[in-house]
Amino acid sequence: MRMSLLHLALQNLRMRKFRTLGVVLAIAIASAALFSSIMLMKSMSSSIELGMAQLGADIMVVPGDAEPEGAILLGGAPEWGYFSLRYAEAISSLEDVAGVAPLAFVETTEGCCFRSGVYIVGFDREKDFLIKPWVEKQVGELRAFDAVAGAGYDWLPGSEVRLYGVSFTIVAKIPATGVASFDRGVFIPLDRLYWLSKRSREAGIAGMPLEQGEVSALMVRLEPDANPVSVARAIEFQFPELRAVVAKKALSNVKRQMQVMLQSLLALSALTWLTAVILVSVILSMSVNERRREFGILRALGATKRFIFGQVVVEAYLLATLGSVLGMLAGYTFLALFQDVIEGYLRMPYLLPNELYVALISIATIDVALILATIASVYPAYRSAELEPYDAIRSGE
Amino acid sequence: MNRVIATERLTKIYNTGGSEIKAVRGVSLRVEKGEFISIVGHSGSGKTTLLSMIGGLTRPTYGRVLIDGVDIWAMSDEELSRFRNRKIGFMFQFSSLISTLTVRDNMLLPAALSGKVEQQHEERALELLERLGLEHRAGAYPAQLSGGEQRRVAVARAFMNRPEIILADEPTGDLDEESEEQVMELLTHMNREEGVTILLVTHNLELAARTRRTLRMRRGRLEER
Ligand SMILES: Nc1ncnc2c1ncn2[C@@H]1O[C@H](COP(=O)(O)OP(=O)(O)O)[C@@H](O)[C@H]1O
Ligand SMILES: [Mg+2]
Repeated sequence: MRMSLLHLALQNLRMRKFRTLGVVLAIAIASAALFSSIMLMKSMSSSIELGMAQLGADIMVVPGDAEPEGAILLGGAPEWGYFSLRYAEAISSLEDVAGVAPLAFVETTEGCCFRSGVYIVGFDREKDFLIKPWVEKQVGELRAFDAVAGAGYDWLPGSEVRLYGVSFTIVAKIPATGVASFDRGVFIPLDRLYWLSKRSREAGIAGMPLEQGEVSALMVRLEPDANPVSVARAIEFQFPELRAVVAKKALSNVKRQMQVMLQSLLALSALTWLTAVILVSVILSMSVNERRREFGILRALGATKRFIFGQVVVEAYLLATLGSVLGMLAGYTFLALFQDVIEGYLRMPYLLPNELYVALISIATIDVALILATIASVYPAYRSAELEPYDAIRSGE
Repeated sequence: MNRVIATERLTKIYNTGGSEIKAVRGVSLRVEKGEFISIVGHSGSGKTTLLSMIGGLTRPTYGRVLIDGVDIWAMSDEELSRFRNRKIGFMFQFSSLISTLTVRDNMLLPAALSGKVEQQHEERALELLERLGLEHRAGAYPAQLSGGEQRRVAVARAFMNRPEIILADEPTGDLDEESEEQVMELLTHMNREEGVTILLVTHNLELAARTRRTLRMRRGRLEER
């Protein structure tokens, strides 16, 4: 059946483009705001859930002048300088310390490598407890020019990457951690990284500043019942030039900050919804007024009050669904496209949630849009349905 | 003969800003099946209001409208809508096409509102358009037609659901003589061949003279001429 309530509604939307555009835009903006706030919060909280602590590090030791805690644990670039590997020995001899894993980060620059902005992460073959388990599970042992990739890349095992003039083969992948330098890292053994650094300087390739025996961070794992806070204090007492960040404590601080941010984001999107409800109500009321004659004619030809009511509401639902979908697409594109910019701005990395979450958030957003459409359209719909048919027909004459 | 339309002291009073306008005053009209009646009268005398109460579009202040013996203003909205859809064909004084639908879809509206559009409806729409010389405009939107063409489409549409009663409110108001003749021929044809009962409001006394019975509306009252 070609002619129907839906056909009539669609024709009306098609023929009155200006109004359609206005309503769709209002709903799209509100949907984009809601959708991306929830996505962002979900993304950031999954980063936190997955963070360093998840990888098994209780404390992260960095130079004393390093950045705030949240940024250290989750943050993008480790921008602080290197310090001596010798601290590792001293710290591992402290009480309650079960292991110390040194890590050195080198960010690739323009022209040196297959891509810039990638972290080459050196890890200690013996002492490491963060990366090694994944390597052992997937390939057993790394050969001379093997490397492990972070979760942020689509590389297949066997692909080659060029780092400072040397070709490495990706043989394994570690799962998503939510830590940017990990997720966008290429992991190679620490001694190989020192070798690469020295070679790059000697060959005069874009200089790598890392010297033999230097590291960026020491990841500390404690005995099961140890108190991380007192161990961290002990480290800072003994080495005032270092900073010991307790993973759990730092995370709960970050979570608190996120809570505040979540609230303001939600308040903001509530505001956009309120604006949208008002705007859409006004536009619908205006349009329904314009269409009084049309409703009168439909009534004369046999349309019931219910049909007229349905006509207005169905149109609002179509607009809401369309606006919502467009808004979410825009929001998703924005989050995916400007991931770097947003991470830089928030000083926090994020992992876009998996498909199931995206689907759930989308359904929730569409539901909110439909509720908005209901609120905005019920009164105009009722008024249109209750018009005396002939009064409606002669209006505007 | 059986009585199709009967009104009993039908009255409509409009309240506009404190003052009362008695548009129709106690009209009792009887119409037999198959009659073709013309109604003349000055503008403002209440012709349109009377027609629209008979057709179920304006609720009377007092009085009753009986169609085939049934009091239409006692019906539920569903019943009354169905009655308008099945039994009545309206031709309005004002342009009455839906601007967002093509001529063809406008023609199919009465069928669509009664349930389902079928092949026979498409055929009838085309046949009626042909009678008024408009078959080539089926795909056009109302804004692409002249005023006279729009008017004729509305006339054709009134016959879509094979109504028993046609309520025609100055259907030839702004038509040229040729189109006026086409419309008049269609009305006469439907009246003679299909027994459709017709109430025709017109200013044109020549047209009125072509109907069997002419009534005059004067300040809300109806008189035989
Ligand atoms: N909806 C309305 N509200 C107020 N007054 C109306 C309304 N409809 C018609 N009238 C008044 O009722 C009278 C009869 O109008 P109408 O039935 O349109 O007359 P006609 O069709 O004979 O020109 C006029 O005075 C008109 O102004
Ligand atoms: Mg009139």
